[in-house]
Amino acid sequence: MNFWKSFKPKSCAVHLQAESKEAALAEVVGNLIGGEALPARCKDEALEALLARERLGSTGVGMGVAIPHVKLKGIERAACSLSVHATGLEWQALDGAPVHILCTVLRPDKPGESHDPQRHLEMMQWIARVAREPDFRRFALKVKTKTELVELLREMSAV
Amino acid sequence: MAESQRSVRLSNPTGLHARPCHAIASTAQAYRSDLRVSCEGREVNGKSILDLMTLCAPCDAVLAFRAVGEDAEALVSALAELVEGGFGEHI
Repeated sequence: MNFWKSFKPKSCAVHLQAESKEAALAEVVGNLIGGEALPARCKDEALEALLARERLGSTGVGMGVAIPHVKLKGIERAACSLSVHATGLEWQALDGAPVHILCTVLRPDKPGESHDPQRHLEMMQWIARVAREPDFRRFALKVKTKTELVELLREMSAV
Repeated sequence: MAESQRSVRLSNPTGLHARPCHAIASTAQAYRSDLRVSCEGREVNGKSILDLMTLCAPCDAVLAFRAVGEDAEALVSALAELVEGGFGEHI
């Protein structure tokens, strides 16, 4: 499995600066645009989609992890970002724990040459398997660079 | 210890994605009983969203709930109602 390849270091973050859920999502969208995973024209729509998803129910899945995951018009391939927040953010997660690891995925709203919905579901399943690995969560908080963060995902690709 | 089991077919079009997983886990956490959920030979902790997400159960898949504890039957009934209602999604 090479789902880790969807996560480009330039779109990830080892030290999110935000101090709220909303600011964190805005920062992640900015990183996705900066990393050229998401067109700049999609900025407002992407953020609104992520915020709307949170209003529907928290994407905090427990164990300090959140998986914000939305469909977005106007993109042809999934835009993915792995981000770490050192002190943790209040995310209204089911277990009440602050979120340290954000795995954000924005995907096209329809199938296309670069987007296979079935493969996408498999990637989300893989993300869940990775996220529940204690080693992944522990090491993600210790890495120093974005490249190391993606390398960690690569190492976890066999889970 | 009381035990209750029930199998329910997923009717919502998108299957067991993150939000239904959240709905199952949050419902289960309101009960004292332990919950195991299985699908196509895999069994996970029904109180963990991440565990449930790894089932990746599509629409029409059958989820088997097995609760053990004093309120097992009430938990399984609540879950069956949740799944049969399509988690509030359009069916």
